[in-house]
Amino acid sequence: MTDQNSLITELKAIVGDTYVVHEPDDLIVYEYDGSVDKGLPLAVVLPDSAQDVSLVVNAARTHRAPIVARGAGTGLSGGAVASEGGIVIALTRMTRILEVDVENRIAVVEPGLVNLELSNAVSGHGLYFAPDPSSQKVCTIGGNVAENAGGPHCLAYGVTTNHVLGMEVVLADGSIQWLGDRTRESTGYDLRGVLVGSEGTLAIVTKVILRLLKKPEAVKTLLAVFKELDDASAAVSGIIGAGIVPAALEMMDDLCIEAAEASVHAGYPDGAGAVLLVEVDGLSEAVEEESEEIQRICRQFGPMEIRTATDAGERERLWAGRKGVLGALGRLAPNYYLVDGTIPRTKLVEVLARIKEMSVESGFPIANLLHAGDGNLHPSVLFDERKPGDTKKALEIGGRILELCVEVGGVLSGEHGIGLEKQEYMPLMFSEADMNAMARLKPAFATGDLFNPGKVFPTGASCADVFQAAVSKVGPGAWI
Amino acid sequence: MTGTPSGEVPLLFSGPDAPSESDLYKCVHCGFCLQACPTYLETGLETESPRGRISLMKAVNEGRVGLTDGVIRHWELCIQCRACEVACPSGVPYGRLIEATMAQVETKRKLGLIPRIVSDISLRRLLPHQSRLGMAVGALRLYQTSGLQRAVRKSGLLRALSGQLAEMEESLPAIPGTTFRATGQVIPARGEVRARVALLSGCVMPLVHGPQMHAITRVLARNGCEVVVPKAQVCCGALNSHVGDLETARNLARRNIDAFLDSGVEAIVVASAGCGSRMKEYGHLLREDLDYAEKAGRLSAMTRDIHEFLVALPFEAPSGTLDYRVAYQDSCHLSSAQRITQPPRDLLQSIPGVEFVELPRASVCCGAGGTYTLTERDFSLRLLDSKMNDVEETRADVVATANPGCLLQLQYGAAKRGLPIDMRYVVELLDEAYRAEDRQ
Amino acid sequence: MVERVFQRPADALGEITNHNDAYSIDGLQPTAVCLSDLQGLSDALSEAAKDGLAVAPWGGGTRAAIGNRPARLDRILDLSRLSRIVHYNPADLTATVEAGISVAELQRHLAEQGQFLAIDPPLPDRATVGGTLAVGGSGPTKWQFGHPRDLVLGMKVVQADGTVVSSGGQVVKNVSGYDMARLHVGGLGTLGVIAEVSFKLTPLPQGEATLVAAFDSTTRCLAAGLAVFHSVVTPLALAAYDAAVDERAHVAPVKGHHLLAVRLGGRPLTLQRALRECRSLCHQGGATTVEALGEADAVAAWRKLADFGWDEATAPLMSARASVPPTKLAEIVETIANGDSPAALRCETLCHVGYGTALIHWFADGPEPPTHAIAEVATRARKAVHAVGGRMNIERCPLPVKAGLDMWDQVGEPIAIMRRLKEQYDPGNVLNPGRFVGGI
Repeated sequence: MTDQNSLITELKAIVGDTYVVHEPDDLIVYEYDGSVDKGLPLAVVLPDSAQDVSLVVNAARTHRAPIVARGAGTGLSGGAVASEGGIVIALTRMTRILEVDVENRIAVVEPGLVNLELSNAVSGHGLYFAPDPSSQKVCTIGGNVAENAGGPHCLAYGVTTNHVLGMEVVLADGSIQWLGDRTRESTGYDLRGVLVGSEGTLAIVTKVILRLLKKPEAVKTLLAVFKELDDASAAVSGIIGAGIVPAALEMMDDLCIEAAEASVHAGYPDGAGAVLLVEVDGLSEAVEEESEEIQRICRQFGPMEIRTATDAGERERLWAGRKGVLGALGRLAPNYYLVDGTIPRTKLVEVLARIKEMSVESGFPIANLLHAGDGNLHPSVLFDERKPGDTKKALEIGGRILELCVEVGGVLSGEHGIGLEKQEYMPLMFSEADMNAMARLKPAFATGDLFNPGKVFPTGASCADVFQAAVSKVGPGAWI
Repeated sequence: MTGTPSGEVPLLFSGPDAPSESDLYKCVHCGFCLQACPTYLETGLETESPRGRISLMKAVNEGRVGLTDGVIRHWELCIQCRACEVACPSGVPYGRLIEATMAQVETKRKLGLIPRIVSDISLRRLLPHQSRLGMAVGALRLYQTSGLQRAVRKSGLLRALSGQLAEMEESLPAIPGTTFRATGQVIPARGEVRARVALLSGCVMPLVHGPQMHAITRVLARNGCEVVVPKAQVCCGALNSHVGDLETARNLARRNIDAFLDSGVEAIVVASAGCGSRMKEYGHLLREDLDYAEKAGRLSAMTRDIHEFLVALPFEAPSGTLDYRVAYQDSCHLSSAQRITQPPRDLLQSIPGVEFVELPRASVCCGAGGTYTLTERDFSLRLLDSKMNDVEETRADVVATANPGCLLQLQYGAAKRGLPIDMRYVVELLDEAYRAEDRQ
Repeated sequence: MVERVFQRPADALGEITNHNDAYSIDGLQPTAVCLSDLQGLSDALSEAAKDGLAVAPWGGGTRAAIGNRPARLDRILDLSRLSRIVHYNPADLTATVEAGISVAELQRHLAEQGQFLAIDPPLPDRATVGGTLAVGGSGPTKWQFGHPRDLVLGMKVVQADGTVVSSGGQVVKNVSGYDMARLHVGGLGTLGVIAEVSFKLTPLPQGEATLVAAFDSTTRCLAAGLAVFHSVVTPLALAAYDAAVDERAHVAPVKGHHLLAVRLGGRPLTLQRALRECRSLCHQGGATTVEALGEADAVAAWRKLADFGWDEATAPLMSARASVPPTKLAEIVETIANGDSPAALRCETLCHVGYGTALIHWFADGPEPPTHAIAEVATRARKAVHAVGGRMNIERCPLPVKAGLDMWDQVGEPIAIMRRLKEQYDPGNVLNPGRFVGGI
């Protein structure tokens, strides 16, 4: 106990009293992120600089307290949950944009900066930051780096790792180092590259050098409504097959449409079975030519309706149904378990049919929201946690969907990360040797057990225990 | 697994005004509310965020923590701007939750001396009684016009007593000579009668912003509205419910229902965003009141914010010209509680000559928040400071807003920095444009 | 399984008789094993590890000059027969191939389906996919499509002890587990041997066009290139080269002091518009001539630009690759190519504008200058690159120069992590010992 007190005293000496949260009542608000998992930290520290972070790392190491880095806490795989206690380093005070180099299209930012704030700040220069996860209004750049975040527009422009040039990090020994720089080609091993998406297990990022893209001259959004999911899927294949890589290519099934109708009154026709949302951008001629082609392809599959929009307001209305759908699912059932997996695009029809079968067999409705362009599925299993046993069944269905994704050549997570949520599923995709090779990054970065222990890699629980473990983690009001 | 605590855990929230569990457990802690919350933006602390405040409510509800001072402090620091409701994908009714929570803690909280005096005097003894409030404001005007204020400020007496008191004195608004009184008067429409409406005069506005209230009636009349101002109306009760005094709030609501419901109008027009949002929620406030529940629902349904009302009417665009660069600060209780953001902008942009500029982060609270300026002085000023940085960036001549609290706060912010920026109600500018056309 | 152990390269290469390059790295003459399947590669490595041999993976041998002189080298692992297309589904725009397939052969297969892999290394008929990745850099098309590492979805690698490990997957969006492939792209085969790679593919543009513009100064040419980079047009490739490069390689029938080549793609109207924009940007930037190349000329021009410095006809005495912020290209080209030189060497440059890569080649017009003078040229160039915040690696130089000069630029403190990576994945120092940064 005295040890804990002395740790807290040390932390306060580093960042000041206000920025160490340690009262048990207060720590409750740091026990969760956006996922189902929970864990109470010993203390939460809000540093203001890399030097602060370095000192906190040193203090934690001395006291053998693990460290969990946290941004906005919107992650969906438990990456920011202090599952083994310890110190949470919340980077929400480090929100500065340190430099915008318009000519070289580079921004240097702190990790607590909110994703959308960066695009807003550089918008006047005709630039933007491409990765746009659904939580972009709140999630932080540091979190994006840790999880290698994607978003609807990463189909054409790539995920976070494609936009990070360099970063300043604090290593487990407290040293502050730069990995990568302002140039595009690095010398030596691409340490920056392995750090992106390492879920806070290798280092704490304190500054990031990002690539910015120029805003396209024109943008056009098309919305195509189909009676059948299969037709929409076929249209997706048609578009990709025609050599068009749209900026975004999103799809929703009938349940999502129903929910979206109920909440935002998107005005989809009766009996709509699937909605396809396609966005093309670039030169105005390219936008015209590609959107013509996309409409021609969609018409081959008998759409009920095609709408297009070019100005910002109209585009916003077409996107409204898609953007509002997750929140709106609450109107169909009290809880949903949002699954994240990626499959080869060509398996869409097959996988959606099998998910439908699972839904029919189990009696649990499953709503499908897809980044269809890159095969990233977000099936949501709808259930009511108040019915005994239903939570467990819903999680089991989620697990079976992941197994299915891997079976058809896909992966466990497209953009949410492994974290605590999927660590026990890792053996579905990777052999012992594969995981062993990954795990060796920790000694290479000399992390000891300091950074985010107990994440990403399986804990050794048997497959049968996996569901049980998942169930026991689910607390009241969890995001499921 | 049901989200309700097991039987042996004592429920610390109790009674009919306890936060509802179905409201509480709608929150799935996704965090989408964080960037909407002014206190989180200021501190970066999850404890001062909507998600944090809700999880503390859940923790109290589940018996994991008690109603400690520390926990209560985080709720008190909530300015109740309700911007989080707009950001929430799951539709958590945060305003309702914090109001019910504050009602639960009202008996337990230990306020500091100044906040206690302020809340006791202002909320229980003054606001509910227009005549007493009138006298107090009259005395304030006397203080300001007699030269006493100058003398006090020069003497440094207050600063010697308490810096906080001195700052509060400095932020006192200048009281105009013209007041507005609800006497049951009827202001006739100009030209053809297009609607018959009742006007809420409110408690502070008629005294502090009398000339603006007259402007509001002129704008309504100019657009063919016959305006009734019922004499029996009282304060809407918003400030009382913010600090958890639901009983006084309910009493005020009942009196307003009696005063307005049978005045034979098609709408009750409210010029103050805070009052409008309170009255639109009378239905929920009195849901357990057998005699008033239905009437309250009807009154809520009849309540219209003035900007909303004018745009829907639709209003006639003025032809008089105003040569201003105008920015608009969203009043939280208009933009977040009532979800009205476009109508005030439409009104401003309809004025010939006005160059409208968007204020960056217009939807973030200015720190006024009812009695928040008094009870949470430090925080309120921090928020105001951030707001004034944005205001300066716009290089506007005029910042318009839609609520008396916001107006006073912004005026104070401009005065503190010595900025030559006018703070005006949207409708006041509209009135000026109409009057300009009369002169043409 | 191991097929055969060869003593001489000609035997190992079997039917590729027109191939005169030896399996020689910096004058060392190791034995060679030619492998045609994953198991064989695994066996060869575990055998080497057991016998304490130092091995070097070998693709087409086109850029074997890269890196420091090996500390030891006993055996070459020739992967050019490990060249199957494992999986290709055009509708998924992904392919999985064995590392030894030549880039040209893969592109031929993909082109049949209207697709391509956006890498264009020198000498693609011989350069293999695995070798290209291990070396890390690529040709001019990376301008739009990013570094080759951005195209890798998943990778199968054989570790120094023969263990086969996978990471990533075959789909375009994946965050399952650490992104291990990043270590091997540009890792010069020092942590494992790339055996199989899954790639993200790109549809071939419907139409293509290439503009070449001539300028009378380096600065103007690179400024015009940057103007294109900042314009609404997104070219497929953007390269600037000097007159000497053109004289040596006969890139295109357009002459000038410094030349800018812009490769554009798209549907007909898009292409017309892009051509129009780029033409006018070049004219505005002071181009003396702007010409669109015919199809055959364009194909030849881009081939020559990608091959420059690596084919026999243009082989320089020394080459370096500098990576700088794009706006600094003109500055370093001016300093390095047009400044004083401590040795009688002709410097010729080729820049990937917008991406910030400068390929700097030195040729000896007369007799080869003394070793120390050549080293001094390199050192000075590196200094110039550092001055603008960039890095410079030397890609080839006379062997004696290698002895006293690190081919790799400084990597700073992270060298400690890099050394520990080597200890983790190749504790016996089997793979390419001594050739990589810091003597790894």
